Amino acid sequence: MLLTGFLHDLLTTGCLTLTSQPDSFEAADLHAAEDLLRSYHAEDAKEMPHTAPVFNAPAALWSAAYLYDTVKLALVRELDETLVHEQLQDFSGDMTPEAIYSADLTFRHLPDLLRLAKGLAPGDALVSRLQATAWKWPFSSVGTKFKDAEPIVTIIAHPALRQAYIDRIIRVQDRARASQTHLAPLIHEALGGHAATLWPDFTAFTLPV
Amino acid sequence: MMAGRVFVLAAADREALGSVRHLPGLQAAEVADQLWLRGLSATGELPLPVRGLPAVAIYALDAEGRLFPDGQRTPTARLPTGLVWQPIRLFVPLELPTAALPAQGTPAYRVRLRPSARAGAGAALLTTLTAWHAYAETAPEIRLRCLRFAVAADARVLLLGTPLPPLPGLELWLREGLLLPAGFDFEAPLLAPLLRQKLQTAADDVLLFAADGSWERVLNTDILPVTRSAVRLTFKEFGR
Repeated sequence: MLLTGFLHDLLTTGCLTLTSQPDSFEAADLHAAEDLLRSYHAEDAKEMPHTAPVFNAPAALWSAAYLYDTVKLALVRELDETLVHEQLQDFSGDMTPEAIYSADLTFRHLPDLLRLAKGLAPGDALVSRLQATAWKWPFSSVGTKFKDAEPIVTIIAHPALRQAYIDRIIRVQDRARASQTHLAPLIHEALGGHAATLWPDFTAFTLPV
Repeated sequence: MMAGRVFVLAAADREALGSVRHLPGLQAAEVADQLWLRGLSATGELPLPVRGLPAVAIYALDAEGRLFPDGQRTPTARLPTGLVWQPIRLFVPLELPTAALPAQGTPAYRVRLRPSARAGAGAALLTTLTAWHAYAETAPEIRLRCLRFAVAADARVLLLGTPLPPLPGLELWLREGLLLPAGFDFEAPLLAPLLRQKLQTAADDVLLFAADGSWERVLNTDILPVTRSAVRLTFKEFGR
């Protein structure tokens, strides 16, 4: 029950214990992990605006395993770099709202992990891989800066994801994303006439030069 | 030789003897619905309180017990036998009067509000659960997390915090820690601190006044931080 134990610790205490060897997850472990993620999705959906996308098990399990491997690769430095590319595979399914939200159940910890990995080994292959993944999953990587604009068409098209995405940008005061021309009006709409109180310098950095 | 003067009063005038009970040497007795009073000097002017007694007869009394009507030399009666004379202080004992007012009389004051000449920011909003739920379903998180809410049994919702949501309802402002309808002040502003002291059971409880001066207390423990799930579950509990 490696993955299930990992998820249980992640979602409850936040303290993780991992072994130093590469792992493969048993079927029973994956089944239990799916149940755990499904329950967590049901709880988390109560806090989502509008109606949250339904649970997508493949995406939720993929992101959970991805996060597990990432934590291990970040902490156990003697693991081969080639293993990074072997283990951290991209999601093979479609990037639907359901997949985005289900993956986010664990991927919401990706920015923290990326900061941790950068601190351990700047320029590392793992860091590059994590950055690439974070860019592809912008709903989960708010607060992380990228050179290119993130792919957010699917997020913006879904009412729940769009509102939650805007909420996250405001919560971490992600200036880079809030400045984007297609996002700034949405941020402004959320702040309403209280921008000066809720995000005091928002108007300053979004004003056209 | 006269031994003194005697007053005769009706038994119903017993309380009138209270006005002379302070005079020394007086004695009284009761017989056959009459009160007899003796101990008054045979000559000289009678004390003023004695003269004020509602006497039905006044006699001069000689040593043989004969009674002479005032100013006459022929006796018309004898002092009744068997009279039990008592000092006037025992015959008319003191009693405590009944209090005219209750000892803990509490003056009542009806709190009144009047339109205020001042303008101020709202600190709370009284709205409906339906409107509040509809707003919380889709509102930006930042507009929710600055608020706290409490729901009454009749599904009224009190929202506290700033900025307040743009919802229909009654906006309230804070006056001396009391929530009043925005635009209203106490008719007697100096009463506000006193009202708070009198009505507030705990420092962080909220006292909510209506425009007609009625009020209700909202316990701080009933006021919850706003989360979308809390609003949704509350709405569900009300079966809406």
